[in-house]
Amino acid sequence: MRGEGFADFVRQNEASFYRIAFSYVRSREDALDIVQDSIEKALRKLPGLRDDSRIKPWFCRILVNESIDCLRRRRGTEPVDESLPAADETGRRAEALALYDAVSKLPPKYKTVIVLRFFEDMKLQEVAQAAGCNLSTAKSRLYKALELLRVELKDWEVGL
Amino acid sequence: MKDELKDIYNATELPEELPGVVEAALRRGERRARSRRRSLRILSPMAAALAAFVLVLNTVPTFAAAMYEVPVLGEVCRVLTVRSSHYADNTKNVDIEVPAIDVELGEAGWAESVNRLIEATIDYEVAQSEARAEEYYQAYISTGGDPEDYRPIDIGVDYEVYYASDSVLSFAVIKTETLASAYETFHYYNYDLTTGEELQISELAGEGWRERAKAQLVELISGPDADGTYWQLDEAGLEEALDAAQLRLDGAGRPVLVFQKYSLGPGSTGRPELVLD
Repeated sequence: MRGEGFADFVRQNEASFYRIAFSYVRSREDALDIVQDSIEKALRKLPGLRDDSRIKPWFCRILVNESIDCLRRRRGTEPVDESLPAADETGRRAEALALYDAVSKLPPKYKTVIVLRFFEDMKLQEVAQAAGCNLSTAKSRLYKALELLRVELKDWEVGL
Repeated sequence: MKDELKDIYNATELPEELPGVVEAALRRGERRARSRRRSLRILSPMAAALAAFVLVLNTVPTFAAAMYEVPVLGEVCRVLTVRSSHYADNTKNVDIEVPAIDVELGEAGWAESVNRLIEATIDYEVAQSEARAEEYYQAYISTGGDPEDYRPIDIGVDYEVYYASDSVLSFAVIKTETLASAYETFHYYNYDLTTGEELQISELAGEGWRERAKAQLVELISGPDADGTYWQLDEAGLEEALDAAQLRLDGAGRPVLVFQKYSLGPGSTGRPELVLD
């Protein structure tokens, strides 16, 4: 893929990339930094991308790694929590907010599969590529994540 | 429930500066990729011969000195990769491209000194990063971390050529370390090819450059286009930013001051640059 094609891909997906980064670091400034650093890093590595159809999981892998590195740097400092939605809702909405909060607190490797599979609608094979693991590991992480979230499996179509 | 969660996720507020940050990153990344390509293009007519050189340079030290005596027609100076190494273990992935300059002009023995300086700088930087990677891994394990979950730190060294003419060369060696983007370090090399002297900013921008640069800097951070992107710095802050700035040339051979990350604004402003008038 050439630079122009990559630039179009990034512009079309910039909102998704920001949301993915933000889901890890929950800080506007850090998420912007991560998107920026990921784009620059991806452009350096672009000649190594052999299959253009894999651009999304390929880029998401860089983005997720940058996000985890940011969390790693932050370890030992106060967690940032800029905009978790207010918890003054009731009923089903409150339940969803509580579950979203639980997703945000999952260990990174489990959060990655939940965010990419269910929020970004990526195929499990693509999730595996983005997470740098094989398909069966991605699947087992997904089941483990759902177990940690204590959700009813029947409500979640794991798919492939 | 899954749909409600997705709605909450999609309601994440997008900063209005996101498109600007993305465009700036694309420009910076593309510029870096272009300068890398340019340095390779300089090599392309002689790619086969140089490939052999690189191979020999890596294995026979005496040939390295002899190589600089080989006459090359049509080019005064080249920047080429003399060593490319990749290795990894459970704490790190290391990817290094070591450049060297090859000058065919006058008494160019100084180039060897520059090349030794480049090599020593890279060795030092990589050793620092490897020590940090090891330290971080040990801290992770000793606090109960599972080695299986550990992601090794990426350490990379690469270079960019900004400007090359018959008399001047400007390039940088860049180390990146994924432990923290703040650990990205740039070493700039700007040389007068006829004398082997390192170019000074006062030679390029003239006397009184600092006052002019400060005025341009004030315009950059407080002018109508700044739009709150930068911090408002007092006199001491401006002086500090100028002291820490580095010099390179742009594609037209003009002097450029490169400010350190976080010296003028938050991380999303990157490393702002100022082309000196």
